[in-house]
Amino acid sequence: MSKKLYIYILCLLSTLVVSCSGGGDDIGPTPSPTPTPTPVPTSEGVFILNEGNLNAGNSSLSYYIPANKSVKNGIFSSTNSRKLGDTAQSMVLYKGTLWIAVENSGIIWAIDAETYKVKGQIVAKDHIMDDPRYIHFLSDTKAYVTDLFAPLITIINPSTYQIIGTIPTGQAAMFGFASTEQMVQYGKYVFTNCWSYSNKILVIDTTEDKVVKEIELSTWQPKSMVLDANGKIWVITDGGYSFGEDRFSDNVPHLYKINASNFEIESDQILDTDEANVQLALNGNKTTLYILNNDIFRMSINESQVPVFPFITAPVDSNGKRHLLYGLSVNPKNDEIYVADAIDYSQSGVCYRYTSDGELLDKFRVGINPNMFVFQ
Amino acid sequence: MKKLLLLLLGAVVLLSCKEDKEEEMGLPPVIHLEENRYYVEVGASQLISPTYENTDNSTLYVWTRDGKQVGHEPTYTFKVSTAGTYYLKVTASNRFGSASADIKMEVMEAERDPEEGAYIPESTTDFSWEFPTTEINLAEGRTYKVKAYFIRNDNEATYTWTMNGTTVSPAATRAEKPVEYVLSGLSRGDYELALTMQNETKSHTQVFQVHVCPPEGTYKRGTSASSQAMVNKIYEYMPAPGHQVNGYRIVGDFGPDGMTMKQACDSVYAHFQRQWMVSLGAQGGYLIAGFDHSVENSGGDYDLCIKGNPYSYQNEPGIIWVSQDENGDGLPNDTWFELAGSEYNTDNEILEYAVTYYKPIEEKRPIYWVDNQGNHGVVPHMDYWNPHPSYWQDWVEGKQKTYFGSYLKNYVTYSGGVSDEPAFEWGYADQSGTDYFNGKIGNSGYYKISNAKTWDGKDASLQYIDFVKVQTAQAAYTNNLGDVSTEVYYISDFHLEK
Repeated sequence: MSKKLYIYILCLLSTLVVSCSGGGDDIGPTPSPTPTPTPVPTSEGVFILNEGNLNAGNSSLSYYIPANKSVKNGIFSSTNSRKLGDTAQSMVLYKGTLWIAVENSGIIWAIDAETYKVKGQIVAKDHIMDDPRYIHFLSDTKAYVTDLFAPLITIINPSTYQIIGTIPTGQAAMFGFASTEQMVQYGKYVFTNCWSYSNKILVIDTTEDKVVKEIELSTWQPKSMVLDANGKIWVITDGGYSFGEDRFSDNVPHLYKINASNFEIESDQILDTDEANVQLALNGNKTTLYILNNDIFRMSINESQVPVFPFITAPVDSNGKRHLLYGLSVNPKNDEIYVADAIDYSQSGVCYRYTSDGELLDKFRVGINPNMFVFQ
Repeated sequence: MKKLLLLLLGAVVLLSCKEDKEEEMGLPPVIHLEENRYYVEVGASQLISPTYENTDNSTLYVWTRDGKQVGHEPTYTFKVSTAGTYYLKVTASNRFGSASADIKMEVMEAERDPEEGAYIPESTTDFSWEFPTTEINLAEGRTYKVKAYFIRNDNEATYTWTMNGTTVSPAATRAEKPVEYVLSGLSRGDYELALTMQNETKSHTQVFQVHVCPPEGTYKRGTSASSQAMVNKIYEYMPAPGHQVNGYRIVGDFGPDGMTMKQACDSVYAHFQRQWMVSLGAQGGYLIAGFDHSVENSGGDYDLCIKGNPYSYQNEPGIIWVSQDENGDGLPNDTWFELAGSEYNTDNEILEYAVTYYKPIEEKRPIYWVDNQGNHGVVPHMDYWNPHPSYWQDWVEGKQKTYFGSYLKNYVTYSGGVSDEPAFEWGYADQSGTDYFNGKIGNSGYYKISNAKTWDGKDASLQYIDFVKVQTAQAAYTNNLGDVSTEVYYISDFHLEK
């Protein structure tokens, strides 16, 4: 594709987004361009977050340099002489600082993305932010933090490392969970998926720090969410779980497309029965959707159905057992695909790096249960 | 002007040529699928009906299933007899090209009706009745109700009670008087109580050995430095059928098939030592444990600890019973007193409840039950919980087994794949009541002997107890959590816990 045509399509897509956003009829004013600041790249490495095992305190941080295919594991603990914590859930890079939410430790670390040294931390206080899951930056002085159990979204001031407020989500706990999970922003609205034992997407008005709308899905446990170039939010549910005797719902994921401008569900399609995690990712220009659902699937955001056959197939061990793929990200600069393989949830995980065409470029060992990639 | 006309003429010719070319070129078919993944059951038909563009009577359709041609129509009805994953491909072709689409079919085993295949005993005209026990031990000064359960086919019989051969309750039909007798005001000694049923053609008599024992306290056993907080013996382990008995392997290996009652009791004791779970199965299932000393009634404070595994959404209440060794023989063959919980004397509880389970005659089939309230149901066989061929206890002889006790109504719900099994306020094992908390021995239920009731609802005012019985209180199951079955991990004397 020529650069000129590429830019044209981008402009066209931008027009469509504005057009769509203006089409809403019951959700207030047209969103202004997203205020989310763009992270400043500092180098060309990839951070990999290794969740570890629950209650084992073995979360870790790895760093991979694609140029020379080198990987450094345990960079947080080796740099800072302390443990990262228990069940590191997510991270986000914001203006040279990597923010890491460590759920079961009730802490958010802020580390320098170049030196990996801790710059600050925010800890749970008075049962606020006990189980932080994801962080979404609104500005230098304001970010939202979701939580696995509490019916609250915590508002933090990243510049002072302080908790400055909360947003009640109004979600009744089911089995003790009132979770909120990932976040995407469209104009003044932040959308968050209530993953654990829920079927809701919440819409938060960031000017009021208030939940203004609930979108109810027809299936359980929305796990991952992305906002595409058309202004559509794609949500994948995991359908519950089945671990031996422990079951919740039917364990069949669905993929939803939601119009971010009017909050309406435009499509709902059934996917394959889930054996591990489900995740969504977009390419750099947000026009191609990648779906982790046992294997990796790929589709244009303008297509209506996830293909039946995978784009990248999960490895299979010598006993014929499919590896448990756990994380999926796409490098927005070159559309290279990164897949995290938890293997069996107990041993050191493996990461795979593919070209945008699905050709394997590299694979490397990291920590236990790698779940997320952040690109510098 | 001439140039302009020539240009216009040229344009018309070009347009005309272009239209001809398009008509000649035409367009290949386009296929739209409403879904490209289907979940169907074995033997069920699923119509796949795509919509098409650019098709007409000359369009060729080809359907393949895993590479083999199976159809040539615009639609295809999928139906197979074996579970598994199948891939369909539909191809539509015309002279301008073709299009194809893939469809994934997940075929699952059909879910059977959970009650299908249960063994339901044939009705009979034979007379029958049942009793919780025929040997009665009670301390002097106490009362005791003897009651007949599940009286069947008595043909308007009369019932007469005699004590040592003397009529103490004259002949009466069931319509006139319940078939029960209250032992009261008996002095110490042995008695023979008899119940005789008489109708036009038959007569049956059941004899009860009654032992009126020395008063409470005679056989009380004090504590010593070596007394054990945890129960020191399991006397009976008689779970009702359930998915967490026979072959269930969640924590520890309970034991091999073909176990005896004694082996099962020893296994329960070993589980308690490790604080591992044992299940009491469905309604009525129970275990009886005893202490190496008498557990004091503190007079209103907690006296007993019973650990379970309740969660906010999963409460499986068990009714707690206590007894004293009234005859001093060291065995739990004495009068049982129910520890009243929050639902005692409310519509949520049925006293003098009995339920009979029938041994299935096929493997992996549900177990049918009837109760003395006129209800019936099944304990389903849930293969994903426990694939063992039978949930019937190996050490239960005969083809049926009746459990006697009390019953709690359930408020269990299951909707959209989600179960909720709510707790009552207090007073029951294995539920998150106000008396289940992080206390002296951690998360446990804590219970009071002062709540013990006599059969007629009066305070039993027991000074101490020697034995404890825990019994599953509810009859319910949900698709994802299985049957409601009280679980017990540990039973101990609260006062001896450090």
